[in-house]
Amino acid sequence: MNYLKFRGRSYSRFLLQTLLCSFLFLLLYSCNDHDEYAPLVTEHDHSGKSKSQYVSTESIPDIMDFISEASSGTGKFLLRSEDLAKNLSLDSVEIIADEALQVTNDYDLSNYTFKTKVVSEDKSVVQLVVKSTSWGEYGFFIQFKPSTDYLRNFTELDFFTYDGVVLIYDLNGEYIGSKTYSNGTPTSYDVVEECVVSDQGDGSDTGGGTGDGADTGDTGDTGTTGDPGGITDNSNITISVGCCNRNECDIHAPREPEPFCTGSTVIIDVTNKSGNNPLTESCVPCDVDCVNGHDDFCACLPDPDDTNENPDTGLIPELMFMLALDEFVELTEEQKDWIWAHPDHRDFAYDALDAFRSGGSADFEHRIIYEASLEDCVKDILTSLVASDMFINLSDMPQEVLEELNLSGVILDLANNLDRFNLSFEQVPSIVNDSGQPVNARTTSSRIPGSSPPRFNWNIAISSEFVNNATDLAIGRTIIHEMLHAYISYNYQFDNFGSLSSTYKELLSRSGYSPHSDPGQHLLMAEILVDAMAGSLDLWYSNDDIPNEYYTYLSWSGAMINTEAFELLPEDDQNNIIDANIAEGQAGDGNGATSDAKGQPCN
Amino acid sequence: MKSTHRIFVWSVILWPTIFLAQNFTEMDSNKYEVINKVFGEKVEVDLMEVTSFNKTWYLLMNTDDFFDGLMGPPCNINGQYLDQDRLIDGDKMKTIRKQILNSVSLQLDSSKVNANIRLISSKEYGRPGRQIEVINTPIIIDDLAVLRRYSKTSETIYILKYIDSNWVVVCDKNTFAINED
Repeated sequence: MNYLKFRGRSYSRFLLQTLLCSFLFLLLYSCNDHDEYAPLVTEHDHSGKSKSQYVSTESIPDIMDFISEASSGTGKFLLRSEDLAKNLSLDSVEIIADEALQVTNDYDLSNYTFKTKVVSEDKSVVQLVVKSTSWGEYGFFIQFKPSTDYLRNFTELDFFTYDGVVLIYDLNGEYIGSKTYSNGTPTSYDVVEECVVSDQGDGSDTGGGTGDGADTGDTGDTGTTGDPGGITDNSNITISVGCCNRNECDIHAPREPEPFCTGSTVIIDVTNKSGNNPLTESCVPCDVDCVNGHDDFCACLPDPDDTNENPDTGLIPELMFMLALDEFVELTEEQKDWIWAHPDHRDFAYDALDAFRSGGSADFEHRIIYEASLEDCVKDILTSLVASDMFINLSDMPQEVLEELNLSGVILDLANNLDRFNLSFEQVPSIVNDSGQPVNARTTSSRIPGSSPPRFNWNIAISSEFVNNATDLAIGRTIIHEMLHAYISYNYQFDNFGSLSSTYKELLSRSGYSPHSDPGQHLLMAEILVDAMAGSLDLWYSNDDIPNEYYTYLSWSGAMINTEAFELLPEDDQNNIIDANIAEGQAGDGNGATSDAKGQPCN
Repeated sequence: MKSTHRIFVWSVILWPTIFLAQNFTEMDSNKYEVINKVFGEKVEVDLMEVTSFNKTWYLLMNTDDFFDGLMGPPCNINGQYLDQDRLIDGDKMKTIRKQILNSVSLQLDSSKVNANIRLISSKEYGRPGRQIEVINTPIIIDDLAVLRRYSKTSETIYILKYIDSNWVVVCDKNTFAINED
């Protein structure tokens, strides 16, 4: 009995302990094996805010047909700005019909904004807006003529600081109205009193036709409310274009069954949807009755159930950006076309604008950014190297290099070879390596932050300490050397199975170096690219007084001198290399060029 | 009988604890094989003696960012391109991210790394004149391994595949690389 009792108690204790252990085990194990995070579930908030995206024009045939019809099949329009008698020229506008910015609201109503080419003496940009409404399509042009100051300081489209004029035209190019801004504050406006009949309808019944204002014609009784058409960008800003009553508001809109054209008042305003807005002023007159009341600008508030028209339309900020860029550098039509040709090109152009704004410059042909930090003498060396077809022209390399690398005919025009890469040069006070020693230059390859799809940049930084000590010959040599770093990196990435990369991989396999490491690339340069560098330097500097071998000596530089390949050179060659490098100057105090230098001081 | 019970119970209690503790402080030999493969045997390397628990790189471990957003050649085995989706599918990427987020710092054992790898005290890291490399603890999922290696001048993420009883590097992707002259 006692035994049984003991057995029973012990067994239940055993069970309890085992359960406890199991629980502990499970607890510990579950701590180790973290569960996946539960996915976040969000619901569409129906905030009413429109969504925007770029769409191919092929996907919107109805809209394109509308534009084609409105332009008699040409895609070209004429804005009759001379009517203003304000010295504004006649602008010919051509639609760039590769894509459109589509803005769609909760009711699936979309508006489309198109960029245009404007041929005009004035610096301005024009966008075509086509609205797809429940009664059909209508469109208008909005033109921006910003001031020089605004363009020079332009970073992104910001109407709170907008300085210049906004003009609106109908599809016939007839001027409708404009408003002038000074640092975001409207200073004056201008509207056409009479509504001009669109040739898309005669307006004879429901509109005033060519009547002389609000008292002409029948405004109709459609009961719709005056929600001014809005043009928005992504920053919650609306440019309102319209009238105080919807019947008047839609700019000569070809409504079905008849177009309306009765308005006497046009609002062109910039408003902040989020509330307080110092930019606005009331439109005039503001004596209309609105079913749902009107806002601060006397535009009637929309009927909540109104699903006829999306008041928001997109604004393409790149157009203003192009204008800003044009302010710094007179872009040729070819350059403009190149910029529009691909989003990556536009990204480069943005980088170029940044460089211009900060005092630097850009080379569109070779896709190179020159930062403002570059001294004139360095920039002169760079531009003369880059402008020359001989710049690291690998087709001019010694025959044995060509045979080994099979690179005949390749000109090292790195940045222009690939859309996703930029090349930038800057000058920095000094550069110190891991050992704490000053070095001449540095090449950094990295992804451009925020770029999507990803883009990459090679930045070549040249030490001022080096520039102050060195001759033009040494600086040219270092630029070629750094460009080769970029080239090896590029080649390893994009031609990984080509001859150069294969040679490189073989060398890495033999040496054990990492492909992205300094020693690996310097070993490659030392083993097979010295002649290429020397030949390039010779072709660029082109001085008959300098013997060819001197260019070869100089081409051994920086960390190449730490390689095994250098150690294997005859002692005389090693000494000549070191002497040439000392003569032409290096980074570091007291390393200035000597009287033995064959190049000229940069400074 | 009673003592048998106690031994059993304590072993049940202690076994998972010991097992888990080992997991958190030691790496299995497979992970050392990955490290040794990446660093090779020829070049002397100063490697920090503990692995990093830095986790920000988990943001790069998705198909778009890893394969297209980093620099480096396409993933390949001996020149044969690999289908990236078959190499690392969405589930594996998810597991990699999870393991990165749960990674801890581990002490490396000098007896298990190649002779050319010199383990350096973390106190030396960042001192001027020292080029010290740092790695995250290798992640192994089935026949795939992931290793992140970085120094002052570069950051590389390697993918290795276990083929014929050997780890083979099939992807090496860089976030940045600096060459100084």
